[in-house]
Amino acid sequence: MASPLSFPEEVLEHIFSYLTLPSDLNSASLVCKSWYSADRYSRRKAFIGNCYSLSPQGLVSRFPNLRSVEIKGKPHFADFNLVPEGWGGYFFPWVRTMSVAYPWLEEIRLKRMVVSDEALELIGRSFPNFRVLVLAFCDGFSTDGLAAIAANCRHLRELDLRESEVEDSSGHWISRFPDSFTSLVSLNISCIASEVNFPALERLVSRCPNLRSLHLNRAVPIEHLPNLLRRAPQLVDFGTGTCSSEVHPDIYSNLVRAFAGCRGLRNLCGFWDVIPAYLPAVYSVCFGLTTLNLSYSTIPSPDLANLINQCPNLQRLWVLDYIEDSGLEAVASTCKDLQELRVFPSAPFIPEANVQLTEQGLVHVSLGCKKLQSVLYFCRQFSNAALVTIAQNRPNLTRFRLCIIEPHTPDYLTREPLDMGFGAIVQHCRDLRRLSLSGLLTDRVFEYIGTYAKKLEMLSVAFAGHTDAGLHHILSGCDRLRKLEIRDSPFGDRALLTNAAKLETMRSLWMSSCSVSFGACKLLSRMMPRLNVEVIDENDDPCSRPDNCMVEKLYIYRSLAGPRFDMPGFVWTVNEENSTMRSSSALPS
Amino acid sequence: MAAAIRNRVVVLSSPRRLLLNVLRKESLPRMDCDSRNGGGDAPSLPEYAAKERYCLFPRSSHWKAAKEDVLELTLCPPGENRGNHGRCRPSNSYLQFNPGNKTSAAEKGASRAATHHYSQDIERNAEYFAPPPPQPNTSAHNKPSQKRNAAAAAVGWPPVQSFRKNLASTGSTKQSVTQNVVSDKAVDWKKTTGLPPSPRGMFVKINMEGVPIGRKVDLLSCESYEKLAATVDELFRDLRAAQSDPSIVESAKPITGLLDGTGEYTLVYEDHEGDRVLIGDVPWKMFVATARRLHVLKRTNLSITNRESSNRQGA
Repeated sequence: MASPLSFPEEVLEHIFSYLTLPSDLNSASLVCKSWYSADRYSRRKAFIGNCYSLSPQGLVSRFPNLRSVEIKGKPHFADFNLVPEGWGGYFFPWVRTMSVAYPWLEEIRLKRMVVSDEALELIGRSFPNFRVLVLAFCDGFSTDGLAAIAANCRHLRELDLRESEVEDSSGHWISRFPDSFTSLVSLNISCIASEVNFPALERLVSRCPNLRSLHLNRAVPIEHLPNLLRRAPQLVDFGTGTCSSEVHPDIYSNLVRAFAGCRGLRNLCGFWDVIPAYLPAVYSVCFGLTTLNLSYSTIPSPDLANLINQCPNLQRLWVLDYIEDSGLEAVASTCKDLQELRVFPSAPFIPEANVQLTEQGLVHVSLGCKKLQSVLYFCRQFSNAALVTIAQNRPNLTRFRLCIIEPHTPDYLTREPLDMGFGAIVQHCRDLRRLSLSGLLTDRVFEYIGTYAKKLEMLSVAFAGHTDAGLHHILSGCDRLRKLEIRDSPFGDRALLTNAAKLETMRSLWMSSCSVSFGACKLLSRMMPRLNVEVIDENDDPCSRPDNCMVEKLYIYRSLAGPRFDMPGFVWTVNEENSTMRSSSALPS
Repeated sequence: MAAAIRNRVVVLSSPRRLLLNVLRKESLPRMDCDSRNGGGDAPSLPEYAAKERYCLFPRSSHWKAAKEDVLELTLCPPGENRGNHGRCRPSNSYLQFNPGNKTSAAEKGASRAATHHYSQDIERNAEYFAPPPPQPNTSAHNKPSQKRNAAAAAVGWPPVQSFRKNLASTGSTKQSVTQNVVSDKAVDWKKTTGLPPSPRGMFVKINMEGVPIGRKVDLLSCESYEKLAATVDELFRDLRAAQSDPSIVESAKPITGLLDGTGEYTLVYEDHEGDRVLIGDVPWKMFVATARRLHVLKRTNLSITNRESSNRQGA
């Protein structure tokens, strides 16, 4: 009987191709040298959570045969203007290296990276088998780059630009898809501000029989929808454009017929500026809907409730706070399969509430929707009692993000901090992986989190805590913590330095407007050479101030590649002479 | 010189071990109330540990995983008897819980005292909560029970992504019990720009010719054209110098003459129709209301740019 060690590599590689989880493959590669080698050559997918954690050359030498790459760049708080423009996250160095090393690359998925037109052109030129391009929350490119993709990627299946910022030079890039191009499965152009050449889009949709997912941009008026839908009745996922023009009976009846023809529709979104009178046009597909994203629609509550009452199979609902408590009661009684609820604020910057949305709405949903796992909820008041009730009702929560709009808001019933409520959440929801805190919170809540939230992977903290004990509890207690982002909380040097070793087990730590001194950053950097400690200061040179001055923003992440070379002038890191220097050389293209 | 620019971090193993030993001895926190501007030269770890900014420091018991009663969670709404743990309460009991529920006077007093304690703590530490002076965007925190507009001035709060921000202004008027509480200021803004007022600043993108990295500038914080020009100089001076020669970053030339046409560069803005207009002709407030994007262009290329933009609009 041949021992496993004498299997030829090809057999091992074939067996490994059945392992899909990267963690399984990582474990397999640690068994012995031949397994390491087999995994190395057979690995097809790579996920890089922080683009600066290793160099492109490092990736290419570790896994020489990748077909699919997913890379994330800027920290999450970049979405809220906390990371200055020019910080980094450039994709070009990656595509330059991969264009040589991975000629058979098929998929690129990026999040929060800066992608230039040259990078997109290089993709078009270098990868003959290219199939999937997803650019989520990216920026730095224009429609010229998209034209290059359209013209050159003959086998493109997915082009998804979700929430990216695209510079619009012209809407004609769509016409660059050749007439022979028929392989499109998914197209998401919802983020493009300007008009796209609609006839070209229609022709594209007509000749792609496998098109499953189409998200239009806001500029497409509702009159164009019926013709488009008639050409693609096989759609599963559809995003409308704007629905704001006056309701004409002809258009309305066309719309009704068109939607009725899309029997397989499961996801709906878009609905910009929608007039409530249009909504009944989609009633025919509502029964089959599993995802409904109305977060761009300023529809009032009764119309929303009417629509949602038609959707008993909804699993995911994104909506504005116009839904109000009454609408959420309707959700709780109708959508028994609901797994994810996101309620966004319609007017977050005015001081008083403009809608009747309180904690009651979420409590109703937590009671009625037994499969609820993921919550993102913006509101203006909450209470410990409500949090406790939600926690007891739904111990199966895995993601819980509560944003009480005014910082430091206490329990509105008792005026106490919300420590106990969030404590109940982490105690009951044992599988909680992601948590965002808000409201008035003391160090106590962090004790609870450190003690109970053993599976927590990502934590967001804002305007919370009193002393370093809070941060210490998180870093010492949360065993699985990968990402921690903190703003405007009085956490300082001691907790950070005491738990320095923990930082190497995490992907990244972001702290802004906290109380970490510059000297502590330098010390941490010297203690932990495999961490990149980056100090961001746009106003001043931290070297010119005494060491015990607080830093404005701090981003710490583990890295195999050492300090990066593409830092702009406002980012500092430590060099070997123990003084800091910014590095503004090697500006990327 | 180029080598000096690259940042290399040297692995220092023995000092690290020393440091870890020191940390182990430092397992109990010390109650020190040193002032935050202790000064002095490069302090070692024990001195960092000593520099406590807050006199309100937890007792040593708080550092250990709490086995005492501090961590026992009471699974009932505040105001009820906290002694009964593990009692299984019906899950819809909250829905019958009224804010006007009568709790005992003693419990009310206790909760009031607790609130008082917390507000006192926060007041006492209010100055420590505010970040250091150089930051223009954050605010000092007052009593939490008062509605504060100042706190709304924090950048990036509430955490709403930019593509979600301008929805309320474009939608139909909300018919609800609590009607829109939109201030007059909001109404004026709606008339001019169609966007809601943004108290935390109005960031517009700004690109400089010849520099691949764009920046963002907050128009609301620059109260005049002169301030804007100074901000542009700050943002781009080093980037531009680095473009030409990375080694002379330290002595970068300032960018001057943006407004009066005397410098190498000039400022141009794009309005909501996409037209590019020279800066300086309209009053500052009107400029802020209409500008969508800024460009810093070489003066010599201006006429070419005008031609390009009109070509684009014709296409």
